[in-house]
Parts: sequence; C-alpha cells; structure tokens
Amino acid sequence: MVNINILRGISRTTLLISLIIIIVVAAVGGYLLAMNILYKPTYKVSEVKVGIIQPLSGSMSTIGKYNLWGAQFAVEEINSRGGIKSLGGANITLVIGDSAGDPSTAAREAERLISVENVVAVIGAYASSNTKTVSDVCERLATPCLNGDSTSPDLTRRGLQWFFRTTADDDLFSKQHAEFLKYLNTTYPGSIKTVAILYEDSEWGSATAEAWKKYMTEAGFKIVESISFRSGTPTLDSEITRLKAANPDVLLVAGYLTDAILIQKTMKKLDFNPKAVLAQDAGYINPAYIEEVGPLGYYVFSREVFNWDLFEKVPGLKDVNDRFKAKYGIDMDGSIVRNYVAVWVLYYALEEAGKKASPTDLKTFRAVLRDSLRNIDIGRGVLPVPWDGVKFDETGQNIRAKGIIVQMMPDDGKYHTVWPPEYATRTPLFPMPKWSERSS
Amino acid sequence: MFKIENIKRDIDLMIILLTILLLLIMPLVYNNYFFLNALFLASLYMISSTAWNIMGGFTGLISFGHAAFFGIGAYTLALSYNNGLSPWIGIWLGGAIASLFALIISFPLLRLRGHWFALATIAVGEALKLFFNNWDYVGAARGVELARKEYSFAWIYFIESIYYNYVAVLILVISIFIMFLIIRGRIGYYLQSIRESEETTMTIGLNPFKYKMIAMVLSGFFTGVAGALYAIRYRYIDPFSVMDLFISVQICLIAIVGGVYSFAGPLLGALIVTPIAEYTRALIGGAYGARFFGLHLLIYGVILLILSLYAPGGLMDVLKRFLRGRYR
Repeated sequence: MVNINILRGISRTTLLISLIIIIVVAAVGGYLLAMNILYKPTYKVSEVKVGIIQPLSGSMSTIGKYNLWGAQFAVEEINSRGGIKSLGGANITLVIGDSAGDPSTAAREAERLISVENVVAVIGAYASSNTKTVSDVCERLATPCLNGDSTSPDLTRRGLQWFFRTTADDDLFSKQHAEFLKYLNTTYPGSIKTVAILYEDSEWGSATAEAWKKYMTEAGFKIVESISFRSGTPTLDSEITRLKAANPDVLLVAGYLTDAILIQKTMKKLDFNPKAVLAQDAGYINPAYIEEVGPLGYYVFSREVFNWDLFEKVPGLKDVNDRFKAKYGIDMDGSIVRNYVAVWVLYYALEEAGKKASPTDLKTFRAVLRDSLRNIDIGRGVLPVPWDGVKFDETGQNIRAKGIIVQMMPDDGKYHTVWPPEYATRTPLFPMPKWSERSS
Repeated sequence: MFKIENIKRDIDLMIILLTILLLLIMPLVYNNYFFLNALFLASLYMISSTAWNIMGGFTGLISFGHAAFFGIGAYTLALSYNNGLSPWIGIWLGGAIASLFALIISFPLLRLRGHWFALATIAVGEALKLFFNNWDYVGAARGVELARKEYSFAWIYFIESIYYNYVAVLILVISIFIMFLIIRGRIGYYLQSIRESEETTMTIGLNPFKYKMIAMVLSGFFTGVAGALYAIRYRYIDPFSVMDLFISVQICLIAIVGGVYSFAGPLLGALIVTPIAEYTRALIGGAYGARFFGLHLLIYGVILLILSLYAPGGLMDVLKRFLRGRYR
C-alpha cells in the first residue's frame, strides 16, 4: 500500500512508457550480452591451416614471392581482426609450398599440404600449368582449391568439382573488349563498324583471336581481316599492308614484347591509321615496350587486370596498398592484389563453413567449405578490386570478375584507366589522330 | 647366376634386391604422402638413370639429352591414354617410340666422338623441346592433360598415392632385370670393351657402331618408360616439364653421384639424391623459404658438392671399398 502511495503522483501513461523502455532496454541489453559474452561458437579451434603454392624458386621466383606476400598480408589482417569468428576466433595459418614453377613439383607440394600438413584448402599456383596439376590433386583428394591468379580458360573447362577461380580468364577479357567497343559506340555513335585482328600464332594468341572472333561477331562488329604472325618475326610489313588495305575501324592485337614494338613502328612507317588500337596486354603493358616505343604508343588501348591509378578509384584499395607498402616496400600489382583477395574470399567461406562443421573433422569440413565457396555471394565494393564482386558459376569461375581497359595518354606517357566508367580516371581519347597529324 | 653364394658375392645384385625390398616395404611402414612421393620419384630416376648408365657408364657415350627420350615416353603415354589405350600398354609403347627416336638420331649422333657427342645430345634435347612447344597436335605450349577416367587399376588412376608406388615398383623390377640381364650378358661386355677402346674392339671382329646403336636404343627405351610413369603419376605434361635440360641433368647427376661404372650405382644415387632434393625443398623451402628464397637449393648444392669431393667415384665406389676392407 505504501508503494502505491508513492506511485500515486505519477500518471499511468508515464508508468507504462517507463515500463516499456525498461523492458526493451533489458531485452536488447540481454541479447547483446548473450551475443558478446555468453555466445559460444559451435566449434572452437585455435588455428585453421590453409595451404598456398607459389613458384618461390626458379625463373618465376620474384613474382611468386610477391604473390606470397599478398596472401600473407591478408592473413595477418584477418588474424589481427579476430580471426575466424564462427570458429571462436581461430587464426588462419598459411602453410607454404614451393612449386619451383614445375607442374609435377606443384602436384607433389599439393599432396604434401593436403595429406601431411592437413590444410583445409589450397590456394595457388600462379602459372596455369602448375594450377592444372594442383587442381587435379585437389580434386582427387577432395580438397577445395582456390585460384586467384591464373587466366588460362582451360582451367575451368575440365568439369572439376573442387576448383574455384576468382580472377577473370582470357575468354572473359576478350568478351569485355567487345563491351568496351560497344561503349565507345554509344559515346561516338556509329564510329566503329569493322574490326581487324592481328595475333601471334602460339596457343595464347590463337586462343585470344578465337575468342575475339566469337564475341566481336556477337556484338555486331564485322571482322574484315584476321592475320596471324610468328612471335619474334623481324618484319610485319606485308601483314600491316594487308591490314591497311582492309581499312578496319579498330585493330585488335595480341603480341608479345618485340611484336608490340614492331607493330607500332610498322604502323607508323606504313601510315596505317585505324581509329583505335586495342591490345590484349602481354607485350603492350611491358615496361620495356613503353620505354622503347615512347610517343609511338600513345592512344593505344590495352586490357589490364590492374593499374596504378585504381588506387584513387577502388574503395579501400589505397588504404590496403599504403599498409602493404609500409611493410614490404613495394606497391601492390595485379598479381599481389588478386592473391590478397583470394585469401579474403576464402576467409568469408571459412566463416560460413565454421558454422556447420569443425576443422577437426577434416573430411567433412572440406566438403562444407566447398559448398560455402559454391554459395558465396560477395557484392561490389567489399573487396579492393575493380570487380562486381565474387560469385562462382558451376565451373568454378567467378562470373563477377572483370578486367579494365587502359589507354596510353599523350600528356604523361602513362596508362590510365578509361573503362569501365565507374573506375575510369580519364575519358578515352577517340579516335586516335593520324600519324601525319602527330607532332612526334 | 642367381645362386645364393653368387648373390652374396655380387654387390650389384645385392643392392638391386635390397632396393626393391626397401621400395616394397617402406610405403607400408611409413604411409606419408610426401615420403611416398619421394620414393616414387626415386623409382622413376632409378629406371632412367640406370638406362642412362648403359650409355654413359658402360659404353662411354655421355648424353645430356635424355630428357628427349623421357619426354617422348611421357607424351606417348599421355596421348595414347587420352585416345583410350590402356596405360599398361602405353607405358611400354612410350618406351618403344622413344627407342625408335633413339635409333633415328643414333645415325648422325654416333658419328661424333667424346664431348662433341655430348654437345650434340644437348642440341637434340633442346631442339625437340622447342619442336613440341610449337606442335599443335601435342597441345604445343599448352601441354597435355590426361583425361579423367574412373579410379581404377586398369587406368592407373588412384586416390591413394601408395598404389602409384607399387605400380612404379612393378615397372622398375621388370625394367631393371631386363637391363641387368643384358648388361651382364654378352652385349654388356661388348659395350665395355667399346668404352675402353673402339679400335681394339674392331680388331676382334665387332662392329662398334652397331653396339653403340644398341646401347642407345636400350637406353632410350627405358628412359621412355620412366617418362611414361611420370605422365601417369602427375597427369599433366608440357614440353618444359618433361623435356627440359633440367631433367637430362638430373638423370645423369643421379647416375654420377651413385657411381657410373657399376650397374647398381644409379639405384643407390636415386635412393640418396631424390629424397634429399625433395626434403630440402619441403622442409627448408616451405618453412623458411618465405624468408630466405632459394635457400634449399643452396643447401642441396652444398650436399652435392660434399658428395663430389668425398665420393668422386660415386657412392657405389665408397661402398665397395668399405665392403672390401671389411670382408676381404
């Protein structure tokens, strides 16, 4: 009765509101408490082992080392942010295998990592030939294989169930060339109707040419000429003369270093003036090419997976690169970033898999992890790459991966990103001026 | 030849039998994939280095181009496998095609002597690699991947590594004993007499050219068989992995470390060198390689240097001297 007397001065409404507030706060607080303090992950382990195979000795050792740094850097970040939360904050431990750039050594290292080191998944292995044997071993031993840096279209055409590739392949890059030309056509309507293809005749050049023929025809461009040449040939005069006679709007080129230099020089010599030259990286992005051709290379477009000016455009990339550079002393490049991203993709899958299985039951965990990778759905802007995100199709290819198109700008002699528009730092210069109109 | 007392006195035969016994038992004792792989590689090099030794050791024809035979064997198996031929036939077919190639190149090559022969073999090996690298039918630079078949004994496709080891031992036993019988037979003595003096050999009415050719064909055959084994195990080959000069060097390095003048030298060499190479790479290259890139190669090199300083006649030579000193 006394209590009621005390409460008499307070209105009923106030009392009701206070009660509701107390209940809500208690419920939310309790829930948060339960989540933060009382929450126990179903499975708790101290570490999760992940294998990585890179060419750490032999002719590709420099690239392999950088790629490894990219992956190690991602692992450090993940661990310092609390590891895999669904497994009670387990740290990721990278177990390193050296492929020496040799397919059979890569296979042996994959077997060692999987069966001796008991890793939950394998990342690697840069050279497409090495990735082939590694993914074959992973398939045999039922272990997820995540590849971030091999672009041979063959890799995802083998019906593998345990293989996933985050980067775009050469086929996808060729498709994006067609998209880029269509984009130019919307800005400069009707300017591009015909294309010609000039390619070196080894596996890579031929495969690129095949893909171009397919996608350019699909996009409605007419292929007026298609000429192959032997890489390293001393002269391309007759080839360029034929191209000049065909008079295409755009010239598509796939060539290595010396070829790229020769093509640019011969084009000037024979005064061949297409409206644009679009290259499939390789020779055209080699620093030695850029130095050798100088102004002759201005206005050329090339496909790239990465470019220095992306640091300004891709969310989070500059921040990651600054920290990476502080630690390792070099800027990230396309390969390093793609390995960094591969580890993060695996991390997201591990978080999902950790909810359903424990790495102590390795066989089940690997299968669950494979399913998590299959179902992964990462949107744009989460990872510091110019992609639409990560989503694998049934072959294991990331269908949201993308390349970019860069153009050599005449004002500073550097490649700048011009496509896709959301990452472009410059607008594409089109059409390129005729040789006779150029000052140098 | 196979009486017990003879075996006791014959160090070569004893080592062959002990090696085979070791290869049979060890996988059961220590079923570790990495160890199994080292043993598999050892068996592979036992075949190819013994085959090399027929030319390099017994006939005195130093070859640095055995990767050509190795690669042809590997390619033959891969292509025949993908066309539906049983690998049990494909392995020997690989040897046959490699020996055919050996026969063809023996005509020009055997006209060269000493180091000129050695140089020419390098040229043949490298030229063949470049040829395959540009030959579309064999996949050119893209290489050949073995088609995915069901896991079975018939297709030599297993989930468990250990079965590959026993396939290798089976092929090894057949190959080594055929080579052993040939070398211990008439032809073996002819070859050694050619090595010592071609002129003297001619005076007793033998045609050195013919027997050198036989040595090359035999050597090519079994190196091809080893190459085919490689292909069936790793299931992907390209010119740079099976025809590289590195393979040639590895084959003759193992024979030389083991001891070239004894039949069992290459067996001993493969048994010692291959695991050292594998373990230095995995233990040092993997664990510390991230900080000291290439350290394992340095250590591997130092071990080889020590071997060449203290066992210039090969491990077999050391072993023989040790046994003679003890059981004279």
